[in-house]
Amino acid sequence: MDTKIFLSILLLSCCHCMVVRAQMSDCCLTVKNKPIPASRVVDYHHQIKGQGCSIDATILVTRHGRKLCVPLNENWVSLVKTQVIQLKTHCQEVNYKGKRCFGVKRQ
Amino acid sequence: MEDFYYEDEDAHFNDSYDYNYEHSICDKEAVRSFGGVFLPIIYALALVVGLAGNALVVVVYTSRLRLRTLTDVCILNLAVSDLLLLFTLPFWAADAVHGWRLGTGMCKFTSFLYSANFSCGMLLLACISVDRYRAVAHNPSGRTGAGARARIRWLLVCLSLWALAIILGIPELIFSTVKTTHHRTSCTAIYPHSMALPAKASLELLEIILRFLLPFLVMVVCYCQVGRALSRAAGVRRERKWRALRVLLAVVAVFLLTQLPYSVVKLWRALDIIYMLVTDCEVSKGLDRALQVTESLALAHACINPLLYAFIGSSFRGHVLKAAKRLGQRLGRHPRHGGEEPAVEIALRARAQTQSQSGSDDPDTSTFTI
Repeated sequence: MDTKIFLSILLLSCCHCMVVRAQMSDCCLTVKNKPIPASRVVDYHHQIKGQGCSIDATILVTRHGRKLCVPLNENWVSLVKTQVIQLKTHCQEVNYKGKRCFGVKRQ
Repeated sequence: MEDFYYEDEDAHFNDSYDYNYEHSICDKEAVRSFGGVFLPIIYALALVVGLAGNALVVVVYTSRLRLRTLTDVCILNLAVSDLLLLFTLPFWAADAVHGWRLGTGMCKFTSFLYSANFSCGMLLLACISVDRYRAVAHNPSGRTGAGARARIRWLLVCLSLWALAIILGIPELIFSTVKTTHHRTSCTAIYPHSMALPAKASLELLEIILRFLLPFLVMVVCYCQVGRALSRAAGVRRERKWRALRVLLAVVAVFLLTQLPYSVVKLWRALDIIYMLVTDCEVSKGLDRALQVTESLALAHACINPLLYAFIGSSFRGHVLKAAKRLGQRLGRHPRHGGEEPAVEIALRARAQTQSQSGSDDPDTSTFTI
């Protein structure tokens, strides 16, 4: 009888599992769906929901290193991303010299 | 508002336009540098204090000829579990200072050790309260008689507790991984993307509630019964009863004080992950700081356990003294030392007698070593 009560208590307490350790990721908490000129943007990252952050987002890095939060799947975002890839390739070719490559990080 | 992203094409390299910070990334560098200072200090303190206390418990309880009650066995297991938990602290301190540099395997193993032993501690605390309750409510005299059957039962209870704790640690073993973001690596649990949100949500809420609430409720119910039985017990002096009750109260209060803040912050965080409650960067930073502080507090429990469960017990103090005496005899025959001892022991026995309760007259075999 005692053993039964004991075991049922143990069984109940087994349902918990994970310890949320402090994870201090830089996250986008909200996004703004408002186009940003591609000329300002030098890099981008994706933020995937569940990997330390609560929402999906695209992080656009400006020439001065500011990180802006925009939606993940918008046409203008895709366009900006394509231009960023072009810019990065160009700057790699010219060894990051020139006005156009201002703020572009070396790969 | 309308022009917050736009700029003059001429002002190409000028970043001074009006930013809406709400939509720029929430930079947690301040929180990380706070953690990089705060966590190593707290972890070092916890490691030193916890290591000393728990190691003493392990030494005394293993050098003892036999463990008399399930509570004794649990206290020994609790000390071992706390030691294992404390051994992960240097790794977390290093992680807080300069990120995780030990690879995925070590990340998984350390997270597993941390999680399993955290759970194990909670389960053992609940187990101790159940055993104390049973001692008072059912067979106040019969529990100390440790036959072979009782020993097998204790072994089974402990094995099942450890097995459970290991099962509880398995998710960490699976999901923990080294994550690199913005030139910084950290060891965290990452859930698979395919996991359904409602499933994840209910699981997370359930586990947070059960991890804290269930052991707490078990402790409160059991210790209330013990307290009631104690206050009704005949032939025990009032102050003795009050002293025992105070210890029970301290055990529950310390558990509540150390675990409740952590559980509340975790609950808030879990809700935030599911329902995206926090959209303000300052609030988010505050939440992260609160998690760091409350987690340290929850860890402090591993250092306080020896004090609350072992050192307070009369028989433990007696055994420390006996062990010291044996050691003293073995090391060197200090005539001065030997001459002092009997007096100390008598004083200790007198104190032990006032603390023993629940009908047992022999302080060394008092059914619970409160």
